[in-house]
Amino acid sequence: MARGILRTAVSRACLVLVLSIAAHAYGDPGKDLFDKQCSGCHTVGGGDSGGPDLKGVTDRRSEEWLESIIIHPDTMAATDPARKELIKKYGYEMPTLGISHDDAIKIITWLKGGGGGAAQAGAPPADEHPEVVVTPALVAKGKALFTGQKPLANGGAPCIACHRISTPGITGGNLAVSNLSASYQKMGEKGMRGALKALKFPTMKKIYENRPLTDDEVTSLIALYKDAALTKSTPSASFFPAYGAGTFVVFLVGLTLYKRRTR
Amino acid sequence: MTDYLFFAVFPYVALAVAVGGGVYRYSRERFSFSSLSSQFLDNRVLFWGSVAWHYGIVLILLAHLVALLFPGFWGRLLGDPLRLAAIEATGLALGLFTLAGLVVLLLRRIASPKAWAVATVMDLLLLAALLLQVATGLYNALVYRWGSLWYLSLAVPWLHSLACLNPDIKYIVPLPLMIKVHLVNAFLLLLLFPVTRLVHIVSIPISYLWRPWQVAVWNKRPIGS
Repeated sequence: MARGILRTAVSRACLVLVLSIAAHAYGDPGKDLFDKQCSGCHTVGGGDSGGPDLKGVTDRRSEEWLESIIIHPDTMAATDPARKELIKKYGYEMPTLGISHDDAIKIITWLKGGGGGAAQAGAPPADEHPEVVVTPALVAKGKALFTGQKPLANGGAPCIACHRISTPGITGGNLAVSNLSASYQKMGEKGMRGALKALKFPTMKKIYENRPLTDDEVTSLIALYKDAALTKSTPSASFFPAYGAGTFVVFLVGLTLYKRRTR
Repeated sequence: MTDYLFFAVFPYVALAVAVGGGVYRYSRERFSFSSLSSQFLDNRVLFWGSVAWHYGIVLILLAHLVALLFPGFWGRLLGDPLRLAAIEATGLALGLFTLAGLVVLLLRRIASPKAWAVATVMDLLLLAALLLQVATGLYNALVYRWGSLWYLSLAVPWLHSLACLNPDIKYIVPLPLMIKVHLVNAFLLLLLFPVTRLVHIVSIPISYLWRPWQVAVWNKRPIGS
């Protein structure tokens, strides 16, 4: 009886050990890095999104070129025609993510193997994020999140702080170059979803590092961008410099009156 | 490396010099903690410069300080496009008011022989640093719109990290040059604090708020009025 229990325990322990080793062997550091750093904007076989589909990229580009764009895209020669073409197509430069040389090699090695042989990696399965259906309620929620009227659940900054959008009634900031309705037109829904989930752009990276957007927030914001892109409105004019100048004149008048009073 | 020196080391150096130098100056020359006013030498132009400058800069600094100390409150306050635009427009107006006052003070200092006679190199250096600070502040407000909001998400966490002795410059590194100049120059002003007439900031006449009224009577009509 006791021998039987011991035999069962040993065989189960061996099974757990073998499964652990197998799982470890199948774990690919290149894939892990890709999922963590790249999958926000890229897929392998899932089509273009925030950035190009990387399926077969190791056949199209040299290893040195791939290393450069992964490690320090900001310092790649401005004259590099392939890079210029990508910026033109996607509307922004790939951000520097702080990936080390060793990690870049691991990612490239994994990509060389066909991205783990999967038909689609990086992008979420198609059925996980069905296409956003724009409704007035969803657009209104997106507007409230964009402007900060409804704070983001994890405490991130509202989009209006730095971004413009071509929709009536919202005058966005312009610390960031991109107008988000124009970005949506370039990136499409899948690309925008990837970008909003990753938020790896230089200025945004630190702000949202521990404050990611929730799926619900991403969907509402996509509805807003999609609606703005479809309606093709012009960006709201900013009257704030004129108001500022007007208020300045009022201050000068006040100062003059104060001077007369104290003469 | 340069960013690290400017945004993780220099702020502490500036603060140490400001506190250490300020205490040293107060212990050695207590009565030098003053604005060394030149009002008696030339009062005609001073009013336009001094009043505009002081009202403007105090309110602008107060807004920076409220956002720094009460970020939650500031975020809720700006969480409405109309309020955001109103606060930004008021800030811009105050910035212009401050700049106008500073330019008047600078021109007066140069153009008035009496004011020029008592000016020191440090006075001119301070005026130049203040001019740079106000000019870059206005530039950033106009060119990189909604500074009141991104200040809250980028500069405030960086300042909090400095206060916690764990500087995190990742918030600042990707920012445009003019914003960085504004931030570094703010700490340069802190560095200049103990060696210029800026020390009068800590000699705020708060007791004026509750002291009895004083009646000033001129024996004769002031010259030039």
